[in-house]
Amino acid sequence: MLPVLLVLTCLAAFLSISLGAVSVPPGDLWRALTGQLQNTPTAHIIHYARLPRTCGCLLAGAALAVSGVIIQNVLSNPLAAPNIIGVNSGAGLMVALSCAIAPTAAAYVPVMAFLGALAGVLLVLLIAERTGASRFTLVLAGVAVSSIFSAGIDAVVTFVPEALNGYSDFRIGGLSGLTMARLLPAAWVILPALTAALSMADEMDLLLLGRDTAQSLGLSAKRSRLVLLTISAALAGAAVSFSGLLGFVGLIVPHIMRRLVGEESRLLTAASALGGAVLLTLCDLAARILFLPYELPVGIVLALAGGPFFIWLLLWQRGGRIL
Amino acid sequence: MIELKDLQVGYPGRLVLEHVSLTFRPGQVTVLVGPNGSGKSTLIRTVLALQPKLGGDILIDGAPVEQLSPRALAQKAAYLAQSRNVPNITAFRMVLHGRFPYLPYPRRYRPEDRLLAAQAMEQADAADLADRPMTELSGGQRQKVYLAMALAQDTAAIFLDEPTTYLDVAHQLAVMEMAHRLAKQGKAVALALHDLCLAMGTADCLAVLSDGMLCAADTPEEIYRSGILNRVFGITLCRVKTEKGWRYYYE
Repeated sequence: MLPVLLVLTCLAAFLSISLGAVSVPPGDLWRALTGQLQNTPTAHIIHYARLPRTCGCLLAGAALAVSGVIIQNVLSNPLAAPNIIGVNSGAGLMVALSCAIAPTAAAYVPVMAFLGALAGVLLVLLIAERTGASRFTLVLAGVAVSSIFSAGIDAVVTFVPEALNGYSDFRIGGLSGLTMARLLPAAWVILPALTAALSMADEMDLLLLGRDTAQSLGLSAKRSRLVLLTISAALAGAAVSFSGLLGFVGLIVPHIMRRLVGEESRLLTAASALGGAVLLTLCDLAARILFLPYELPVGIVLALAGGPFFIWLLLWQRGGRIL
Repeated sequence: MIELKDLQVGYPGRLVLEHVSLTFRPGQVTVLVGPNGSGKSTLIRTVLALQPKLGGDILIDGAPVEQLSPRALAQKAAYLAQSRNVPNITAFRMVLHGRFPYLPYPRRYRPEDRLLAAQAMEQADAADLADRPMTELSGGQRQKVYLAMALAQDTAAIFLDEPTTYLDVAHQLAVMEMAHRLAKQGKAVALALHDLCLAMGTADCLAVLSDGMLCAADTPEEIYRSGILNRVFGITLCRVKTEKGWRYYYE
């Protein structure tokens, strides 16, 4: 399964770089990437628009999907996902705040987003630990946390309208106008965090067995949960810092991959990273070329494609276990 | 050897058991019995440091349990929980995780771990299930895999909480036989059981929990003579002599 996903990822990236308002034939693409076409419009489009955007899609998709895998695992709840339990909106709030207070400090945005996302996961974890809440109460609490953060974003935007340039894009989630300068700091967070998530796969497997069994196998469940949630916050926060509040990737990709490869965490994490990257890249491509010359924010395409799919998944699995 | 000295277990504000002094000896099958809610599971969870004790001492090979790291404890005692999750991973992978407490950093399973996991599956009569996903197995098969995982942990003590629930009679007897086999290998085996007859027929030492305390801990013979089970459970325990020893029943 992984090789197939890897090929799909490369294919999606290739399509995303070559297709758009101007389509670039493979020959020109190769020459542009290897620096043989300097100072031509094609080279500019590829270097300053397509390449950052495609990298952004791949990174954000992988980060959000893996963040979802971790959150669903740690909270042992199939409905938990970064956009549902307030991780994304926590990150969003910090992005809005830092843009309002220090608009020029772009390099710190991913860090701020990480802190916001961390606040989101820790709040939900705290509620879970303190109340011993059931899996359903937990999601409700997460939704409440998410609403509070969203209200915070709205408040910031109301008082400082210029804080989030293109606010609706941010809210829906979109990657238009992404530059390498904005992407790089986030990439430095996402790549190590993905590696860390993969290296914690055995711990995630043990957590699947339930807390008592995990602990009786020598896992310090509390510490592992905390470390894992910090990783998931770093992933979601970094993704939100440049792509906005993208929803469905973190919820549906882990579910699709669980169907395809099972729950073994190393495989599931790797497959979800690739699957998320493919899904977001293809949705972004569709958002760019479906209504030329207009462009949709990718969040809309993602929701329109992902929403019905998720409903189908729920109906199809009626009565069955999702997690 | 695991010794409990004047142990108090329960939850903050709710004492479940007090003055429990009991020893789980190597080579012995110790069976915990008691009515629902008498604290069998709570006791086992406390001994394994899955919940904090309220008082008294738990000594594992002479060392207080709170001085052991989770990893060190997991190398000394294995646990088969009463409620078991069924993840969608292969049976072999499950059993392999029984080797988790022994992994050096970075945690990668080594060939010897795979070998031990395979042997544990052999021992638990689950070798044929290795490649099957847990979600596709029957209750009895899942039980065997969980048991194999506990065996792969290769500990001197093993605690099984209600290992026979949801199992048909043949599987129940197989689990009891396994308990004896493990004790013969020198392990300290502890079981919490609902079925009194199974408990009486299996135990080397029977520990009776009721009314917030350990009422008795003795051989089935002595327990039978004392009539304590009749008082605790409100039944009349009887027995008949067969060629394989005493068979117990109640009315």
